[in-house]
This record gives sequence, C-alpha cells and structure tokens, in this order.
Amino acid sequence: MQRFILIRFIQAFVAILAVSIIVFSLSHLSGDPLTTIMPMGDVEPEDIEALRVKWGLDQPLHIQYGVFLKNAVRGDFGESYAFGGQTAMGMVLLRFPATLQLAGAALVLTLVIGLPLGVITAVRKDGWVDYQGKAIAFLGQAIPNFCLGIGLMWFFAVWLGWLPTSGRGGIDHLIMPAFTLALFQVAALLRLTRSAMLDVLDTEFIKMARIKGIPEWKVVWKHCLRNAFIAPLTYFAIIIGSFFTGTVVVETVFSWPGVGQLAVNSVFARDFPTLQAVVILGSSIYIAANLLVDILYAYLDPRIRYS
Amino acid sequence: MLISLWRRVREARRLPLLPLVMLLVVLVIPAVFAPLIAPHSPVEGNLNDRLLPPFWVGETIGYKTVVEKVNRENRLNEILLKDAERRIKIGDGTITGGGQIVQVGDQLEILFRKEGSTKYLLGTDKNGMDIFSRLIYGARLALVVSLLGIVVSGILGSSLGIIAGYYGGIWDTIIMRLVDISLSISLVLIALVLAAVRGPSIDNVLIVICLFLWSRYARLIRGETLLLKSQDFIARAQVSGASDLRIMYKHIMPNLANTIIVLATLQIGFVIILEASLSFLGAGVPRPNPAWGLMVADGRELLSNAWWVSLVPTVAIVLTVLSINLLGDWVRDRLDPKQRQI
Repeated sequence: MQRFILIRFIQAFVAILAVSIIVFSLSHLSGDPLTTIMPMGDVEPEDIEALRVKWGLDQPLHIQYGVFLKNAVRGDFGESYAFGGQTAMGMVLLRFPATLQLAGAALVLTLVIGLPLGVITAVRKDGWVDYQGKAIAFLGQAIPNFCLGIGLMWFFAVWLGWLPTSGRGGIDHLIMPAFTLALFQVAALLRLTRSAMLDVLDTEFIKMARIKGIPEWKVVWKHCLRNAFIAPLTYFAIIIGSFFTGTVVVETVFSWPGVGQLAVNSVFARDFPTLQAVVILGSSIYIAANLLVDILYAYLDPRIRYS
Repeated sequence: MLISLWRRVREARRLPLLPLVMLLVVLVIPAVFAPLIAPHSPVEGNLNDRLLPPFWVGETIGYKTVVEKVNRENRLNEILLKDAERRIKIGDGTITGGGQIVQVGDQLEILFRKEGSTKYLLGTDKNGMDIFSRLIYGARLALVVSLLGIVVSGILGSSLGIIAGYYGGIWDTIIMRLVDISLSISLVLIALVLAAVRGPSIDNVLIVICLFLWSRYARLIRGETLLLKSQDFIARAQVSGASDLRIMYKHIMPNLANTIIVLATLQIGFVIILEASLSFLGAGVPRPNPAWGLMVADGRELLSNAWWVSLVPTVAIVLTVLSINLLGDWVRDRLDPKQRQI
C-alpha cells in the first residue's frame, strides 16, 4: 500500500512538472513577450531593456525555467501584464471564491440528482424510471455544456424570463450555470451508482436482509447503498477535478466572474503570467483529484493495490 | 441464398436509421457538397441584411409612439414623418426604416418588424452573413478536423500501444508513463495556453486533439496486445522467423482492428465537442471561419434580440453529437461486445 501511494505521488508530481514545462515552453515559443504587450512606437528601447532585465527575460531559457519553477512553487507568477500592479496570483485568488461557489453548487446538484436517480433506476431496473434514467444519462453525456448553457439561457431567461441571463448575484444567478456544469457529471454518477447498486442488489446478504423482513426502503437505502458507495465515492474527486476545468466554458457562457473567465480573458489580453497561474493551479487541482481517487480506491478495494 | 438475403435485411433493420439519417443530413451531406448546397458565401456578409430572422419568423421587434392623440391633422402628418424618426434603438443597434404605421386606440405607432425570407433560410448574423451557408461550411470544418484528429491520434496511439505491449520492458514503461501524464492533464487549459501563444487557429485544435487522444488508444491497445502476445499463433510466427515488424503489422494489428474502429467511432463525438468548445472560447478556429462553436459564441450576446444566431448552430451541434454517439454505441455492440465499458 505504501509503495503504491508513493508511486502514485511520484507520478502526480511528474505530471505537474510536465504541465509546468509545457506551459513554460509554450509561453516562450511566442518569442519576446515584451514586444507583444508594449504599445508600438512610443516606448524607448532603454525602457524595454530595463523591463527585460527586471522580469529576467535576458537570462538563458533553462535558468528562466528554474526561476519560474521556484517562484511557481511559492505561488508567485509575477505581475499581471493586463492589470498593472496586480500580481497574477492575486488576480486568480480574487476570482477564486466565485468559481468555488459555482463548483460547490454544481457538486451539490450532482449529488442530490445523480445519486438518488442511480439508486432508483437500479431498483426499478427495466422499468419506466430506468428508461428515463438511461435517457438522462445518454443526453447528459452527449450535449456539450456550452450548448446546454445557451439553450437554458434562451429558454429560462429570454423566453420565460424567470432567471437572469448572466452574471453573478443571488441564488437565481447560480441556478443555470450550476446545472449546466453539473449535468454531465449527473449522468456519469447516475450510471456509476446504478451499476454498483445492481451488483450489490444481487448479493446473498441482501436476499438475507429481505428474508429477515427488513423494510424494503431500509434494505435499499441503507444496506445496499452503503455497500455500493465505493465507486461513487471515489468518483467524487474526479467530479471536483472536472468542475475546475469545466468552469472555463460555463463561466464564459454565463459571464460568471470566476477563474475560468479570467483564463479566457487573459488569452485575449496575452496576459501570460495570469494564464500560467490559472493553468498550473487548475492542472494541479485536476491532478491532485485524480491522485486522491487512486488512493481512495486502493484503500477501499485491496485488489488494486496488490496488482 | 434466400436465407442469407433474409439475414441481410434483418441486419439492416437493426441499423439505427434515425441517427444515421440525421447524421447524413446534418453533417455528412453538407460537408461533402458544401459549395453546391450553400446559397451564399460563408464568410462574406451583406451589411444591409443584418440579423434577419429565419424564413418562418416575422416578429415585431419594437414600436415607437409617434402621435399621442390622433386627429385629422396629425393623421396627415404621418405621411410627412421623416426618415429620421423612423428609427428605433434596440440593444446596441439602431434599426432604421421599414416601420409600419398603425393606430392603437388614440395613439399612432410605428411598428418595426423584421421578416425572414427564403433568401436567408435560417437568418443572418450581425455581419449579415447567411447562417444556413455558414452552417453547411461549418459541417465541412467539423468533419475534416475531427476525422484528421481521430486518424492521426489513432495511428500514433495504436502504434505506440502495440510497441509497448509487444516489446514490454523499458519501452512499455516509458510509453505508459507518458500515457499517464497525458491523461492527467486538462485539455482545455493547455489549449488556452496554445491559443494565447499562437493565436487561435485550426492547427491548435489538431495539436491538442493529437497530443491528448493518442493516450486513450495506446492504453487500450497495449492491453489487447498483451493478451494476444501470449497466444500460440504469435509464438509460431516467431518460430518461423517472422520479423517483429511483420508480426506486429500482419498478426497483431488485424486482430485489433475492431477495437481501434470502435474506439475511433466513440471518440468522434468527443472530438467534435472539443473542437466546438475551443472555438466557442475563441481558442480554436479563428474568425470569420464558419465554425459552429464560433457561431454560437457570436450569438451569445444577441440571445434576447436574435435567438437564431446562436440557437441554430447549437441545435446542429447537439443533433450531430447525439447521432454520432448513438451510432457509436451501435458499432460497438456490433463489432466488439466485450468493450461495453469504453
């Protein structure tokens, strides 16, 4: 077990390192960042030189990468090019609560919808509910989230006028973005819970519980769900990881002022420090979530750690 | 003879017709015959025909009261209304002319109507470009990008998977660690960095697809190769002196064809979504190319005034992905029932 965890930790570390190398080398592919962000003509060459030295752009690449990595570990990605005076990390942290709120709401929605639906569809296998559940699972995984977002926005905000179109505000602002973000994972969790429940429903101890005369709801929701919970539980981490990248699209659709929108905006502003901060932070969360899944799974299911 | 014919008909009946027809109509036929079908240029607009609705829509988009209390004198005045008064401000834009004067109670109002015509079947966008034509050329773009991405990443991933499975050892370790890294990196974020560096382009989309999709093939194919490798016919080929390359190409590859085809069909939907999402974010296909994701993004701000600009391409994307996924499931069940899990 310890060896397994150690290996997975090293792999996760290498993955994060790979991301940092990709991000760093891509950022330097574009040539000199200074020429792209400086207004044309009215800047003295000496000023550019001074800035170049200040930002360390006159150093050889591998030294720049070393400095980049050293600072990145401390959360220092330099000053934002687009918002003068702000640090890139500061910009990200400023936007982080909005993203956290959105992802949290989506997580709650996923649990509240996906888990019970998974249980019910398993209990009523091949029934009407199961059929609907299959449709939800299929649609949820086939509709791109920005299409869903635009569709919802048109129907509920423009056509019916029930919800605000975009932006961040009260609970009503949160409903559509959170649902848009959640639907894909609702479908995934539904399928996962359903198949896990089906496996457990078929076992001897459930038959035993029924024979003993335990009420059916208690058999399903307590005895079964508790045993079927391993797969959905480990999947939570994947859900969280995917939300932090899914928000990039959803926040753009709904003008939600979070980290994802910041990332897209900094692409257009060619604000590399901010983009680097977002990508490295986002990838780290994603990789850490994957790592957590593997460890949880190995902890809960001994067959994996010994293979 | 009769029996085999009967069987064929039955096989054909099991073919999911609805998704197949939908896919042909929405994606394949437009993509192949784009220049023949499209009535207008996909990238040139007529600025006089901005934001026209689809042909079945004729909607009142606003009105302006011009006379508060109607009497004979100002009833005559209506004819003298200057063109300058026939203006209405809606959202960011001003719509001029074309007002129709009607009497409502005591008031005289100009109604501003926009009506769709068959000239622009699905309406026009804010640059006066025909959405129907853009949709058709967009199908071509989506099909080309996804097929290219699938083929390149499929060949790359399958080859590496076979090498890893067949040789094992250090090759296996290196390739599988690369697979692990590739699978644990978020696609969209790297695509954003690429877009910031190189500007949005079709190449970026292809690079991202290939960089990340190969690993899915490699992992699956490696596993299958490991199973095949231990079988007798491979050992016999080795004993009879066949080279490694020949064994991999002639003996292992044909046995993996089904798996590769199944995975590829299941990936097409994913790739189309990816391309559309990246274009929607402005990190994929650059303007004014008729990418579906880009069209959706263009209409997002106009949703309350001109819903068709972004809803029409949205419907196209959803129909395409739905039918591709349905077909993919069917192909998987037919060719490779073992692989229900992928």
